Amino acid sequence: MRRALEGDQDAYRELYDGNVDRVFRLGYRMLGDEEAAKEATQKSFIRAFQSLGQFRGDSAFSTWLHRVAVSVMLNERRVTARQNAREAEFDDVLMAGRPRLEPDVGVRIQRAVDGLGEIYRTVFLMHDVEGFKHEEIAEALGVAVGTCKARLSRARAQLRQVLDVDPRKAI
Amino acid sequence: MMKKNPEREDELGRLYKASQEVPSTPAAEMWPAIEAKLPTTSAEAGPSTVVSLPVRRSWPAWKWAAAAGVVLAIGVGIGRTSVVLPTEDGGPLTPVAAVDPPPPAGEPSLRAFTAHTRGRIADLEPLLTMIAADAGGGRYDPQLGDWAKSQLNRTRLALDSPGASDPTVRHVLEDLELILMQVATLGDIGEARANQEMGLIAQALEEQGLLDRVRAMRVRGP
Repeated sequence: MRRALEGDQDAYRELYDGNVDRVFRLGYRMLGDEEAAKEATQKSFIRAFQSLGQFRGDSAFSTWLHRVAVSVMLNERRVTARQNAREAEFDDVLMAGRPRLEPDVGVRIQRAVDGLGEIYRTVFLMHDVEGFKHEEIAEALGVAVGTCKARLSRARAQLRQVLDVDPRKAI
Repeated sequence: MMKKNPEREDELGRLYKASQEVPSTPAAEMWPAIEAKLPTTSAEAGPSTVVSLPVRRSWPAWKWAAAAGVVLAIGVGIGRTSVVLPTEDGGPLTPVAAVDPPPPAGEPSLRAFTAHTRGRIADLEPLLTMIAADAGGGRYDPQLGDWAKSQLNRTRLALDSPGASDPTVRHVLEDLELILMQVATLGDIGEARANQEMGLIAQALEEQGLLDRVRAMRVRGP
């Protein structure tokens, strides 16, 4: 980071290479579209790099980057999803993704997760799907770790309720 | 009550992952656009366009007058009798009992719930106006954070109420919850980062048109 702040372009590339995969995957999970995920990823890195001087180094760069990225993605999701009538396009996105499960189960879970409130959905995707730690999610969302865990618990409870007893049931 | 099954918790995540293939990361393809906007000197890598101002510890008198003016003008204009004004220490006063027109005979009670919830959302207009003003300037005021915190639980309760079954109302509540949560927690992350975050919040408010959507929630009288 010090080299990046001194204008070393290679240093920026190293920071990018070390974090891009995780940011892109999160973007895809949250936005459900490759182009939107690419755009959100680029925006996140641009914002993070342009304000690198404000980063005090009191946490890992990746943690701070994820905070910027989550903020970008949540904003993008609301603007893009509602403009494009996300519900109507859901089936097209699912078919393009070639689900490896029976379509019905996959559809049920996708719909259930998509129906969660934004914050609950974000916590579930980051923790249970993409493997972020509670501390990382808490930092990204600007909440206490306990709050993050409570949000995840509630998200899972809502999913259990919507999916009934066994999400594998096709009927 | 069903006991929580940790294995089932993991299963939800695994099933979701299996339902959606993520394409491989196009890292090389994305880099040029990022590289084009890299700061080239240490001066450019400094503070962004967000202006960092000293955090104020008390609201100036004009701000209170402006907030009261906005609320009173709106209230007088449409005959509302329910307002929520901040106290000197940033917390809200107990709201005056809301007077919403009773639902016509035979209408479902859901309509009354929805109307009440819309009114509660509209009551947040002064707070959101202040957030937008401060966010636009890239500055964070801890008193604003306290006010946001006090309204956050009420927003969440509204989200869980029947009044949020209307999709338009629900979307506004969800967006409000996120903004209020972001503002409410800024006090924990330090001044510089709080000011930076306010810049992101300003952008979000503008992109979502949230202030206009909140204003549109105001229930019209008969």
